[in-house]
Amino acid sequence: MRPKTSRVVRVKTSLSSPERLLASTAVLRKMVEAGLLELTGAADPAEAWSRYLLPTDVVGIKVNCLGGRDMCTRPALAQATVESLQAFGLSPHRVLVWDRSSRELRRCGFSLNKQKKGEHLCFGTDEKGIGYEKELTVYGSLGSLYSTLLTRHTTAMINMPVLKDHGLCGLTASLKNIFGALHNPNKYHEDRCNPFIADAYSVPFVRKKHRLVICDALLVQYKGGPSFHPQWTAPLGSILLAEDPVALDSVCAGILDRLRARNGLPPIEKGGGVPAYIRTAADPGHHLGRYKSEQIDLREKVLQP
Amino acid sequence: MDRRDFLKTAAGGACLLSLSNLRFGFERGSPVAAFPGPDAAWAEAPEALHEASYYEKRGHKEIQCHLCPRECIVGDQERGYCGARENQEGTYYTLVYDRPCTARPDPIEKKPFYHFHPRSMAYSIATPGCNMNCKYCQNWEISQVRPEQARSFLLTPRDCARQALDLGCLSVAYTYTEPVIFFEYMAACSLAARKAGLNNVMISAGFVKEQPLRDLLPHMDAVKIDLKAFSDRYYREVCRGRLEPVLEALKIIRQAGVWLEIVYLVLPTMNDDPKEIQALCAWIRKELGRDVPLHFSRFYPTYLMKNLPPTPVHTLERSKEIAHTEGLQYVYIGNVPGNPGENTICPRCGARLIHRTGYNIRIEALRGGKCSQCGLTIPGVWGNRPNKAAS
Ligand code: SF4
Repeated sequence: MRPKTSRVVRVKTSLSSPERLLASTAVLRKMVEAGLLELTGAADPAEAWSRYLLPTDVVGIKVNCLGGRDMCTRPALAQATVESLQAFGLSPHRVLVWDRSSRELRRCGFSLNKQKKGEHLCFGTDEKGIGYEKELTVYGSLGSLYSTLLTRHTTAMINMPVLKDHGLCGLTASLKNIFGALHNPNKYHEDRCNPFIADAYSVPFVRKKHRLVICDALLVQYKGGPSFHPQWTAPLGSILLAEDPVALDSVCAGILDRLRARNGLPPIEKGGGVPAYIRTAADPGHHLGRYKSEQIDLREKVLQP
Repeated sequence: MDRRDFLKTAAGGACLLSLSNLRFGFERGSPVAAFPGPDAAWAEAPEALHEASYYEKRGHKEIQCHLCPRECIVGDQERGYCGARENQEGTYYTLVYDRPCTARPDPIEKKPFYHFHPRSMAYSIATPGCNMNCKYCQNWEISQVRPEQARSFLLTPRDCARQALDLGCLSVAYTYTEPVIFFEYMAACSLAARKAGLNNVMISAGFVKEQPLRDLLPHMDAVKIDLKAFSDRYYREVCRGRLEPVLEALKIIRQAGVWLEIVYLVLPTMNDDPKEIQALCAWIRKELGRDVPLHFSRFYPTYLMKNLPPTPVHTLERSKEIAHTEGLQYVYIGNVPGNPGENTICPRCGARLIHRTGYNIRIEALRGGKCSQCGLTIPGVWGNRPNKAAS
């Protein structure tokens, strides 16, 4: 039977310097694995991964590079996850770290790897021979071509966004990260991206391949996003994990609102609450998850370095 | 805007301190007709960066574009709705300057212009992107993609004019996608074309702000506007645009004295209500005049509108009838080759002035812009020489 609540795990570390944390794959791997254990109740990370993946899967880790080197999914977090996946038994060439373009990945500090054996793959949709589907996917308000990295080249998706304020829709975390798989995200910024984001995440192959969100909230942009503005960042030193992207985004909305209140700023959504697209994602027409706080089982873990 | 200012627009950054030209070197490709799918074969090609015009810096690296009525507010590293303009570190760039994805000679009737140099050819260029998203767009594979997702090639404004001349064209047409989104390139090409003794014609949805339009019009010889419907709701729901700015643009074009024709694509059950057609025609007669040619064009299912049948021909004929009843004098039926509604008929004596079957055009009772039977002056730009001599 489906549980009545969605579990979201926030793992914090007491490591004081964000620079040290961002550079430390070992600490980040511990955070990922601690979060996985809390999320699944499994005895060890391999068992936790086995709840989501098969060793025969080709796993796409969808990162978010739009904000540039200073405000992207940190390469060290992706690397920590890759190492954990390899310990679970996935061979390196079955893991692909991807986003819209190789140029953006490189700019964010990811090491591109299109074919070298023994290392995980890392490249963008714009690589020759990849590109977008030729057939439009039409769903609700959406008419888009999806990246073939999602539709053809991977069998499972780990959604790895970075938590940021977003001037046009309130916040960007897991749900909005799917825009990076579309050929025309610029067409969906009207009406606070609603219902476009929910529609984009609802198409059958996205639902089927979505397994887990690991959200980078190590350094959070609480105003001025999605681009980087150092004066409005907060070193949270956290990652969040959930199966339910709606619940995770709802928790993220609370985090941003608290940071904003602390800095004398209004909530991301006029009058408070979660942005409209998150509510839409939870409605009966989309059914992507839960956003109400009473439906979310939020667990916090503090990791001592 | 005077000619010097317009030149600045063509050179980029007209509304701001001018920046040095940031274009990078790029392999010259062959300017052949291209209609590629968005297969992103352009991955590692250097970008075509050219500072945009008509935008404002708002601080914290944010900009606001004032080229079209969307007035996108765009953060650093983001793009506007059209996808053809990008904010980089607080400076706004057009990504499509001198990078058309299509360049080829077409009959002017294909645009369609029926009262502008009939039987002449127009060198037709387009770059990827559009500031609307019509659910029935025939050219969505270039209009609804980002520049890097279409195969483009380098074509400088001078080369554009030279190609047009070499191919025996009388005009350069800015067409296929939405030329407003490649405004700077269109501006530069229009200057080069004029200099070469060519006409400039724009085929647009008219979803453009007043100032850029006024700045552009002195350099245009003819404009065709796709009026999508006469209902704001349709504009918002089917095209993701708005009606009012388009009506304003039509008035401005007419007042500027630039030759104007209007196309109305008739979608069954969506914008074909006789009352809507009647209101549209009454508005045209009152605000633009009875002699503006109006083309009722047939829809074929495509893109996101595959659930509708093609427009029944009798719906087009009924619309034409309504327009005549409302007093419009030059009303056509488009996309129905061989239909008598393609022909130009003298509104006074009924003589057939121009006979058309698709792109087979025969001038009949039209001599020197007049009906050869009754002598009525027929509005339009006739003959086979460019409008304005090279300056
Ligand atoms: S031209 Fe493009 S960027 Fe500018 S307002 Fe229009 S859609 Fe937005």
